[in-house]
Order: sequence, then structure tokens, then C-alpha cells
Amino acid sequence: MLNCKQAAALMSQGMDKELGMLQQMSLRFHLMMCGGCRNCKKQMMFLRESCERFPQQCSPIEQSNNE
Amino acid sequence: MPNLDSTVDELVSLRREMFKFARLQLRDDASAEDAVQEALAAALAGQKQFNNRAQLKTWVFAILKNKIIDIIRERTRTPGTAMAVDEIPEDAYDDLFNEKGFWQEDARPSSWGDPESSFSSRQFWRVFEICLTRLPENTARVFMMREMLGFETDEICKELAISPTNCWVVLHRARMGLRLCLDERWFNSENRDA
Repeated sequence: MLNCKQAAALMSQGMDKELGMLQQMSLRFHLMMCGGCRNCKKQMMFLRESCERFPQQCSPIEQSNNE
Repeated sequence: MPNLDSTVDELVSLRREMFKFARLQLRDDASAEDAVQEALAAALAGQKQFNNRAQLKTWVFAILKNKIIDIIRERTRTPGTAMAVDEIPEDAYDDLFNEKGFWQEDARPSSWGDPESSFSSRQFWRVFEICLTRLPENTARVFMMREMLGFETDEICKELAISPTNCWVVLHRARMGLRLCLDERWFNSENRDA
């Protein structure tokens, strides 16, 4: 049975390679029961979507500082 | 229908945006300049015409990405380029979880609602870029190779001479870091002006 820490690591790994059958099943099972991890997964997918769009949004305006 | 001259003007106007993107990926002004110039030369030679600036931008950034990928591959062909990617410590995000590995009450990811609606906000992209640049340098580089340049992880491992496990760990930490940064500075920020 996965805990959230392991589930978060697996969902990230699943974005980079195909997970094994057992890993997929235990992750799916964990996500069914855990709203926090469902949000975490959505947020990670959102990061990917943002990265795809980022070059189009890269504005020419230089920031004067990082805050 | 714009003519070729206006395409040339548009390309020139994209130069600074391209440079900024290239510099973020390559972390080096000279290589970034090379990538932009080669991409612009290729775009001009392509002599394509576009109905609007967005189409042109998509096309020229695709060319730029390929130039950046070439430069990264070229770079890693020189020996001695193995790099430290363990910049974020192993236990960096441990305090998000309790001793059993479940989310701490205040660290449990909450819903971002309809996050895609932020795509139309310039302020969001500014925050996104700040969050990217706040990642440690090599962590950001691995993450952007994967998510912006589209490298597969086995190629990242090979190019950077790191193990696959190391690569996944770095990517995971990058995602956790970015997620927390956006959560704090945008989705749960009071200063947000959507």
C-alpha cells in the first residue's frame, strides 16, 4: 500500500516513463482514495502544459529583479 | 496577407524573446546568441509566410528549440561534462509528509481550480519564469530539457552522464519545487492580479 510520498514520486516518474503494471495499479488505487494526491497529479500535469506554452509567452521585457 | 518584408520585420522583433528563451535553456549568452542567429537565418531561408504573428512565433520557436537541442548535444560530446544534479537535498521535501509518508495537513495539495485560465495572464507567466529561475541551475536544466525541449529521459541521462534513477529524482524534485512555488506565489497569493 503506497503512502503519499511514494505516490507523488510514482506519478512524477509516470510522466517520464511507462510504469510497471503493479506500480500503475497501486498508484491508481491510492489516487482513488487520496484527494491531496489527485490535486498533486493535476498540478504536475499543469506544469507540463505550462512548459509547452512557455516559449510562446516568453516576453521580451526584462525583469529588474526577481521579486 | 502580409508580404515577406513584414515577415522579416516580425522575425527581427522576436529576436529578444528568442534570446531570452535560449539563454534560459543554455545559461550562456554566447551560445544563446548563436542559437538565435542560426534559427533566424534558417527562418529567413525558409521564406514562409504566415497570417499572423502567433503562427510565425510558433514556427520560429520550433526552429530555435532544435538549434538549442543541437547545441546541448554538441556540448555534452566534449568530455568532462558530467554535472552535479544533486543540488536539492534528498530530504528537501520530507517535511511535506508525516512520519508515515502521508501529506501533512498544511502541505496537502489543494485544488488550483481552473488553472488554465491563468494562461492568459501576463503576470502568471512572469511568476512562472521566476519560479523556474529559482530552481537550482542544473535541476532547472534537466527539467527544461525534458519539459520544454522534449528530450526523453534516457537521452538526458546519456547526454548529462547521470543515472536514470538520478534523472527521475531530479525531475521529481523540480516538479515539487515548481508546484510549491506556483502554489505560494500565484494560486494562493494575495498579490495575484489575474
